[in-house]
Amino acid sequence: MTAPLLSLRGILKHYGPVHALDGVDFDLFPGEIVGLVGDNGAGKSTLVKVMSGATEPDAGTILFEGKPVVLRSPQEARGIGIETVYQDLAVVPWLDVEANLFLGREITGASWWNRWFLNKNAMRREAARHIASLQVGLKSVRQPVGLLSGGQRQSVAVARAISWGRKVVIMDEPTAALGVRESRGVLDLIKRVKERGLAVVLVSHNLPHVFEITDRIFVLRQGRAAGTLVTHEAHVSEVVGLITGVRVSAAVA
Amino acid sequence: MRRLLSEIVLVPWAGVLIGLLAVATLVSLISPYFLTLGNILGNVALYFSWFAIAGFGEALVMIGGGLDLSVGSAMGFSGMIAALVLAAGLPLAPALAAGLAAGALVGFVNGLAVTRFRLNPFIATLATLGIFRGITYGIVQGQAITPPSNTAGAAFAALGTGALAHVPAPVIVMLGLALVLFIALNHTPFGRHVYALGGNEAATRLLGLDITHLKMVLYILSGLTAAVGGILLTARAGTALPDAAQGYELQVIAGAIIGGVSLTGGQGTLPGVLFGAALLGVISNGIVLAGLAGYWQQLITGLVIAAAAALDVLRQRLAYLRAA
Repeated sequence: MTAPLLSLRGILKHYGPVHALDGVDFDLFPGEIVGLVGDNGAGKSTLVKVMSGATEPDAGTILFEGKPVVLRSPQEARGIGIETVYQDLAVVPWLDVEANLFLGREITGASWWNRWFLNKNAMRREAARHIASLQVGLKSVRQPVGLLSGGQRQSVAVARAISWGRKVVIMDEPTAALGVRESRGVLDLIKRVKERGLAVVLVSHNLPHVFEITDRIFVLRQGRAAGTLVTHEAHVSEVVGLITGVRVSAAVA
Repeated sequence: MRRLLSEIVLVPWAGVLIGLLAVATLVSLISPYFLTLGNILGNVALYFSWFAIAGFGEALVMIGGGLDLSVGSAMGFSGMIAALVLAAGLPLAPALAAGLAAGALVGFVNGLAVTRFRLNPFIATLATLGIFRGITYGIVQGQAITPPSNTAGAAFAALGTGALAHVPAPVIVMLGLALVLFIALNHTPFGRHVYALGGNEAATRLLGLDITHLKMVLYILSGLTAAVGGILLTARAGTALPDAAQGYELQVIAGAIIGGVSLTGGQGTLPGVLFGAALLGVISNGIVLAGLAGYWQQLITGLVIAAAAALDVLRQRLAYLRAA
């Protein structure tokens, strides 16, 4: 087996007397989709925050490509190639698709006289190419994102997350706000993300979605790892058992 | 043809431009004097240049999701400071620098209040509206300050009263500022970040953009454009009154809103602000030319704001319909 891309060891996080994470180990390998599941308050959000740099753990180590890293902010995480797509659709409705894709890393001119100015042609070209390669059904990258459907908006957020040399994409409930057909499109998009060799962490309450696209399922319960299952060998009842604590023996994959 | 029409309607400042042309046509029917070059440039454009200049900075703040109620006070304060420096016998350049610095200071305080102390922009700038008007009155004890009639004083006055090919100096400054800020807003990363900040602040922060810095820059820019307007207004008037530009914030904000700047942030254009201010200027001039009493102006301005807001709602529905 190859070395993990991202490894968490003994992650501890307390909020006052509450043990949000109580010594969690987690591995993520290149080119796999890991489902992160658990009941409300199991520690999913905290674990996502630790991985995305939004929160620093009280104890434990994070290894990225085998080297220990400290993630003090989402920018630092992004800097090494970990991008998070947030549940609340982190897109700007009145900017068009291209502007959203390039927000915060705009392409400017190359010469001394235009290096302060946007190179919109280059960005539109690049955005159109990127969107087309991901097979996101969009008429034009010049549409304001606010006028797109929920699924298309989520797809734009995902497309932004996986562009420009990302290695790990964390998705927090990407299908929670979407209808059946819309979810379909986003799930297909996540599969294509995997085909590119990126590793994906999928946080979801929707077990059918988790079972459909993940390779492994990581179950958190009361701040601890309740078990890791290989998706195609697992049954829904096993996962539910681990989530609820009915089944305590942790299957180790 | 229908497609072309809907494209035109969707240009953010198309509505206000149509409104401007319609009102201008109406006024020109009332008075043949309206469309003379002297009236358009010397009265109408000059009158709205202060509102438009301060309106550009106001629009930037509003597009970024904020609000600046202190622009009128910043105008009065910066004009007064410039006049005081001239009255102390100093040359033009230090006077202008001091006036601009005064405006930047108002913006800096606003930015600090909004970012560090996390005050609501409405409250923060309502406070500074009072604070800086009070300081302006206080430092001169309610007296008017008239710049001396030396070389510096004459150069200062020329900023307000001079003209180039019949175009008054303040109008030239307004057009120049409009161009510079238009480029900044539409062709630099900064401009996109402003729209992003007003459109979805949480997303903008998560993307790693420095929101505090952006807001500081926006409020300081608003203070600076208000200072430019205030200095020109003082230069035009020939004397700095402590109540100069009092209440102008309403005209400035009205012009921006009529021009399509959204109170909820994320939307607006500078051509729109220019046309919105121009519409207010034409209305004011039209009332004078029609021989109506000045107090009708408030009623008409109010109606125009309501119409502009209604038009904006309609425009957004159209945009949705077209996308669907």
